[in-house]
Amino acid sequence: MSPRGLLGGEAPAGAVALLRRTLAVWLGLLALALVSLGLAYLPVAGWNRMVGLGIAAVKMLLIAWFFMQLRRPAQLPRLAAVAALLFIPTPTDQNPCAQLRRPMDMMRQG
Amino acid sequence: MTATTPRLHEPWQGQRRQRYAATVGMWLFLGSEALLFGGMLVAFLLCRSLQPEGFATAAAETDIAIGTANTLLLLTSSAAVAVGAEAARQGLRRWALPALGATLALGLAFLVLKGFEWRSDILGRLWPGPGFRLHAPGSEMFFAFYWALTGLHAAHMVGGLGAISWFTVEVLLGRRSLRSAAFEAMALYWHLIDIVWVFLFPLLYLDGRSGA
Repeated sequence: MSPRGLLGGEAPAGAVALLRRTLAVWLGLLALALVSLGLAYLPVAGWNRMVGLGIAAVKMLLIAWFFMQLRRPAQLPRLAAVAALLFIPTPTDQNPCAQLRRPMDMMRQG
Repeated sequence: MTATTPRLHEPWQGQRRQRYAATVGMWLFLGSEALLFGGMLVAFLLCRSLQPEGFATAAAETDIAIGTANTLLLLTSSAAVAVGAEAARQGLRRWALPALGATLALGLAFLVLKGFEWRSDILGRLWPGPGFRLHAPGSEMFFAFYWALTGLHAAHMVGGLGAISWFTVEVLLGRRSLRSAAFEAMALYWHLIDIVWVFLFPLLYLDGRSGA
């Protein structure tokens, strides 16, 4: 449906560009969600959780860059965003979980 | 009365600087929110690494249909609020208000589905404590995280829906300018709620589905 047909009347150029950009990102996000759902049912040599978290990280970047406007050249929001996102655990052996687990493993091993 | 220009608050001397301050301030707040949810997710992953089988068994008991539907609803609401906030910034009333209304409707639909899911979980004896249905070690701990994380997330959604409703009603009553920086700040908050769910979905719903 065209923007004109959606709300009636002629749509401003800015609104049309906004809708097109948002629609593309939204479709990408939905596709990624469905891909992660499908992959969850396939045995990926024990990597299912990592794949799911990796796709989640891609979705997060899409949302942050396009919807949260980090693509705008504003340095302070970008700095605050990077600081904030550092607290979301990354799915690697270097994540805080792996670091936290080591002392517990040592305790269990005596 | 119709407010067309956003009110200027102390100490700002211009709209542009005031809007920028609102955006940066919200990002700093989101940083504290990331600490809250990030800490819980780290604790979840730590516990899961100690009891992987029990966590996978328990995750396979969550309602994948409602979890997926809610994921799609929340991603769509994020797109709607992105359109609403940007259209509000540009003063496009006929685009902003329907988009904000759609965000409200999608957010409410999420909470309603979540309510049905929680009811089903309670009836299925998946509330940790005496009578808990699963016996695999770690499964009870998984559901302790499940209730805490989804409950905290839902509480944030209620706050976001309240803010969207309040600001939108103020615009309709002519008490707030559509170009108010509040819409952009509120949209940032809503996107964070979406991002949190983006990570909860694979951890709480997709784990343990492959049987591997």
